[in-house]
Amino acid sequence: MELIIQGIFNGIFMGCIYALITLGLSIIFGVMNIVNFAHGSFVMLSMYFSYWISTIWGIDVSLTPVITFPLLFIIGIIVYYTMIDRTLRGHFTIQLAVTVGLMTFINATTLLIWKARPRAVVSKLIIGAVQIGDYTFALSRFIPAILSILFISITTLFLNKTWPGRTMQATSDDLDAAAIVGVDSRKTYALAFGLGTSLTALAGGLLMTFQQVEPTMGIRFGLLCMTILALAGLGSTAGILISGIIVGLSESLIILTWDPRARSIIVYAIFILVIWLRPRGLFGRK
Amino acid sequence: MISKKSCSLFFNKVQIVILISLMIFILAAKLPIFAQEKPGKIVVGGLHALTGPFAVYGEPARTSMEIAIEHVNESGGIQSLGGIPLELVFEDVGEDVMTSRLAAESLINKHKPVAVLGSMVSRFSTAISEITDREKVIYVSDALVDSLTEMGRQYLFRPGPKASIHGEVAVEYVLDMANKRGIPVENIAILNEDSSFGRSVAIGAVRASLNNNLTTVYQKEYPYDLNDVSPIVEGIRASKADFLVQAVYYMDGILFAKTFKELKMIPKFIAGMGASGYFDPDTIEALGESAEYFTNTISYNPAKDTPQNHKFVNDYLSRTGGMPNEAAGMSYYGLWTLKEALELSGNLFPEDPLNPDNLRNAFLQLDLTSGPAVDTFPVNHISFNATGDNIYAEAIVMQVIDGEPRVVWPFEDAEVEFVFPRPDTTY
Repeated sequence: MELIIQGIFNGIFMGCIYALITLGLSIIFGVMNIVNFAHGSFVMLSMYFSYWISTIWGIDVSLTPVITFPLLFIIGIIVYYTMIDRTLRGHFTIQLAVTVGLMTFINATTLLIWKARPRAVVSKLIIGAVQIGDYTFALSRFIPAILSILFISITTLFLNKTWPGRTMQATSDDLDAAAIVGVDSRKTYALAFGLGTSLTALAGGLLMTFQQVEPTMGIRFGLLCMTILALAGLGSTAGILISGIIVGLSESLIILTWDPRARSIIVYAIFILVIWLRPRGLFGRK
Repeated sequence: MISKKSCSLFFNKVQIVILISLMIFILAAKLPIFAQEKPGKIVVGGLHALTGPFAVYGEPARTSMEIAIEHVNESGGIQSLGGIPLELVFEDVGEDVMTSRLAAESLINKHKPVAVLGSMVSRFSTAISEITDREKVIYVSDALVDSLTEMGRQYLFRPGPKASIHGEVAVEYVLDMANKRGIPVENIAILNEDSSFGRSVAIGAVRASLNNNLTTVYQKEYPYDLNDVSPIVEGIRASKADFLVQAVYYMDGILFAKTFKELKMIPKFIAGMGASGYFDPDTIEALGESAEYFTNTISYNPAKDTPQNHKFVNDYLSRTGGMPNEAAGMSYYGLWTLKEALELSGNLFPEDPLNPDNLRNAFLQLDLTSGPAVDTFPVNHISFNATGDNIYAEAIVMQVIDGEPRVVWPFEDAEVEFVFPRPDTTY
């Protein structure tokens, strides 16, 4: 029983981090109606940036989002204006091709620069474990989970309480109506894409406290994000958090009690079931 | 009556016929000599991934094959064939089975090599071996999965220790160390990444644990792309395993090592078995102090104290700035093994030494106990059985001590004294 409870906590911690990774994809999809297949690759790219900043400048990897967040925001804006903006009025297959192409480009570039070797650094700030009774919690999961909830809450506040956030929601709800009241949809889209991309920097920095990064992991994170987003549906950040936790819990308990190879089967079985029974997701708006 | 003129003409004709017959006879007699005429060089093919995620093995392998070719040629080429030099041609096998197959086809069709070497990745090697067997080209493979030599390939030879030997060695040396320290170990945990190589290694470990009456208290296969391995680490702790043997790669090794350390759930010993994880320079750099005391088995001994090995290590260091890894070492002694087979084929079959069947026979009759191939091989004996495996193949063990991987087993070859049990063990 002790082992199961430990596994539940591990799953919740990982689920919170998964939710943070997915939040950016949700904003981009929600506002712009684009499925960004390169999202997982941006997570990987931000992890490489964190690795680089940490090893070159000696900054603890957990603090690197201070630099990578604005960096990824700028990259997101550039990608939007140079690639995405041109496809918005095109057929969805063009958008799909562009984001898949972007994913391939990022993956190939990282392979070229950092080679196939996995890269990792040791965080000096987030390391060790806390013992509470019979339970041991790795700080590299616990603190990122707490920070993920914090970042998700801040992003929710930004979306609900600030003018730029509300313009994003308005554009998402009704593009024409938003335009009538003076919302510049192009700038709003750029902001959404920049914000969605920069959120991967927060996740990347936190993941690097315990993970390694290698050039194939973008696809893995991309699929994971899409699963969580489809589970959650659009319009609820709390829904993304809960869906992330469902996925994290499923993975953890399957690995613990059954077979690590079966984790994808269970996660995607839940995904298929939800899509079948509730196509708009568990928390999606009608 | 036959006139004198007719008689003379007849004899002239007879003379011409005899002369032509003689010329034909001489030419015919000479033909085998022409067939034996030595080529100016012997082409050897290299098949490794130079792009994609497996270039991590391919690049070091290519460098060491280039060094080996230089060393062979410096030493006089293939002396039994009059000193013919070797020439290396290389093809990138890319990152999947299909590109491996195409690369093998392309290399063989374009360059007609007498033999090819490569490609470390088991599934690539399996695909390549189909082509080499069909084309009757000798294939010196450095892939370790057991099944590679169990498919009835005729022209395939593997000098290095197969995967299950790595598993057996991992268990045996932990027991050796425990015996030396007088520490009882009874419960074993076995983990492997779910590739065919990982499974072969785990089978070797299971076999060794059964032979040594160990109790397997935890055993799992896992995919390399797990995001969190805490549940596995906690499961091992709950099983109260005395030690863990694990087929671990680059990708998963860092995550596991960090998690063991962070959760402070460290058994008496954690032993890698093959697959390069835990002790490669990148992992050590990435883990810092957390890399200490991890071990892994390896098919090449960079510390082997022979002039040939020092020469190889020095040349490799001067070219790359780093020590040769397993892929590099295996390529080096693989090429020297081929050189020895070519020498033997030259002696045994001087009329047609490069014929694939003759070269195959030479491989099967090799019994090397000295020379450059043996000097860079983990043990001092190379001899192949009918399936193409080296019957004397053995792995050695390296342990990370003070941030450097050091040979600790077999004890007679050890660079430094092993550390057992781990000083940071928590249960």
